[in-house]
Amino acid sequence: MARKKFNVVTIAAMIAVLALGSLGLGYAAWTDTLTINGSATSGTLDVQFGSTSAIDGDGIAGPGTCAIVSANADNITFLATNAYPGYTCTIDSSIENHGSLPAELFSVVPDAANPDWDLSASTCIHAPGDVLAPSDSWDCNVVMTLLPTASQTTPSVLSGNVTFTFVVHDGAP
Amino acid sequence: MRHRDKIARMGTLLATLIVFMLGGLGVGYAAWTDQLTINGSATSGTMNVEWLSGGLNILCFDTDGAPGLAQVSATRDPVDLSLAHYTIVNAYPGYQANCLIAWTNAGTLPVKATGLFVSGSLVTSNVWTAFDLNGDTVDDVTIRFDNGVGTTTPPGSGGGKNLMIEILPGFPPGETLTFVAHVEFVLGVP
Repeated sequence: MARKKFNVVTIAAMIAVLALGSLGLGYAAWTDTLTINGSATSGTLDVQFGSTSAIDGDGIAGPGTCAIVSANADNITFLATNAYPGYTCTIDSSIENHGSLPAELFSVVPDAANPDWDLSASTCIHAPGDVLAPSDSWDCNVVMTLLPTASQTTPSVLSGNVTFTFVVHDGAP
Repeated sequence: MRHRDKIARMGTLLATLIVFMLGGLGVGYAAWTDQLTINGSATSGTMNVEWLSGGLNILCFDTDGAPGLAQVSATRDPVDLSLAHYTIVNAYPGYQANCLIAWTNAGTLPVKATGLFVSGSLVTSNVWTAFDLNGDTVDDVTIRFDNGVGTTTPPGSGGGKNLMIEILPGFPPGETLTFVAHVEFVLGVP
């Protein structure tokens, strides 16, 4: 007897479940959907140094020397040896925009840790706010002149650092 | 015994008579009825919303003008009429794209848009909602869906909404991120 009751209850429950399920199917048929596949690709900000050379300010005959120690797209390291006040080391390079977005010069900062160099004779010190367009380049001669305030060191090796900072021209935060 | 047989036979005859009498009543009664019949059938209308081919790309604009640095386009898929492609290239932080995405009701029943869902999340109408598209826990874009949800589009008519996307500083440079959005429609009947 108990087994009979169980079967009846089970069947009734199954019928109820199927009935409720069909209600859901029926309702879903009365909706529609449009789909949007979206994609966004960001541009690139890529400013690089071009070919680089160092120009010794007093020539072969002079006591000072200046040479590029290492150079890549982002960094140029030069070394001036046996320099003296008024001695110049000119870094001849170009600043090139290899990205897809215009680059705005945000700042040009001589390294405060090396206050012995004067950059005022440089020819590529664009003003902050100047914009370098994609595929464009600036000729750049960074003329570093050793100041009289520079201390004598043994060996007489002094290095200087200049940092150019660029930001995206449009939509910069 | 004979008396009992007689009674039994009479009982049977009486029962038979009663059955026939009752049957006769029914027949007589039936003669006083009539029937009308209705044969009914119902055909359901259709719900069929499609992106409007000419109503997508011509109504896109962005914050850096044309030609501008970045470009945005919205086009209908040539095969699947319920699929649109919203594409931004060469974008940068702060860039905003705005396309009026228009649809047409190609069915026979009115429809009503209930909302835009991105990755399953509802974009509240007229509110910028941020999304992390690449799972780096930094939001990459904000999306806004404008011009009201709930207006009914009758059969043969068109509707549309402004879909705006802004690139956030968290969007990595030189990369392509994707999203899938759905505009959901229900019957536009009271």
